[in-house]
Amino acid sequence: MRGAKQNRRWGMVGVIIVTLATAFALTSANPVALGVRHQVDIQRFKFTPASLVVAPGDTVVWVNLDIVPHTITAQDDSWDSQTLQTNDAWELRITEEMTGDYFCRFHPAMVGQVQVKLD
Amino acid sequence: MTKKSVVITLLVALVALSSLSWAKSKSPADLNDLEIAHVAYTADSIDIRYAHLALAISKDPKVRAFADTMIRDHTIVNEKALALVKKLNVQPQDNFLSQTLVKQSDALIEEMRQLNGLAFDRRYAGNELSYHQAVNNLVGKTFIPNIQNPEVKALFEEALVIFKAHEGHAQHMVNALRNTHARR
Repeated sequence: MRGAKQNRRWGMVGVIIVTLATAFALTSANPVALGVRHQVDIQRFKFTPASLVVAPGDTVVWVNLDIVPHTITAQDDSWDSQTLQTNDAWELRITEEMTGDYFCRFHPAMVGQVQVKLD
Repeated sequence: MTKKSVVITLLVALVALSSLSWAKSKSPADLNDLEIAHVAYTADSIDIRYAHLALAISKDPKVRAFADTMIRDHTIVNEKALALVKKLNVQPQDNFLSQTLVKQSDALIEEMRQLNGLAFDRRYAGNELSYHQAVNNLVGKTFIPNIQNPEVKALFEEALVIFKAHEGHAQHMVNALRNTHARR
């Protein structure tokens, strides 16, 4: 009886070990892709670069170098940084559907573009 | 004419000449850095005043958003200017141009207060455009070339970028309101 119980215990340990090993192997074979970080400077009422080509998973960082506040607002209103004061930075993790223009709500002539490239 | 009367006449002429105060040249190009700083602060404050009037009267969301931006941006420029004069340990100097701007703005505020609806919006937008055009021309062509202190010059150069953006925004607003019809 004791032998049967011990066998069941060792059997469960074996299953757990095999499961963990399989998970580790799968993870190593398909590592999570790390996106690229892009920076856009806001200076003298311009976004530089004005147009950015990015991939899903990338991160775009906007930095306000002007003395007045700005916003980064999607033209379709799907995302908005809220107010960025001088030297504030705002990050956006890019997803597939984010291709489009953005602008500053306070100064609407300031326009930039994000192009999401799917490869 | 006796010798005594000639002498008296000459003395009177000398006194008259010495009491003449030659009129100071009244040109923006003659203003010094401290007077220029005072004009800039005054011009900013006037535009903030116009914006507050717009927020009190206008119901147009785009006009109100523009007014909010004027208050936000001009307040920051004034804060930077005050911080700079404090750092330099100087006092801006009142002058004929600041006084003229204030007098003109008082008259315009009185005029605009009598308006409402589309009439107010168009008057406000039109004035914002012409005001920014005039100030930008003065800052770019007269003040910046004449300013001596490099920090003051740098602040004015940065401010001019802001004010030119405002001018463009005002032009856009004028164009949009031109195509707007008054509600009956």
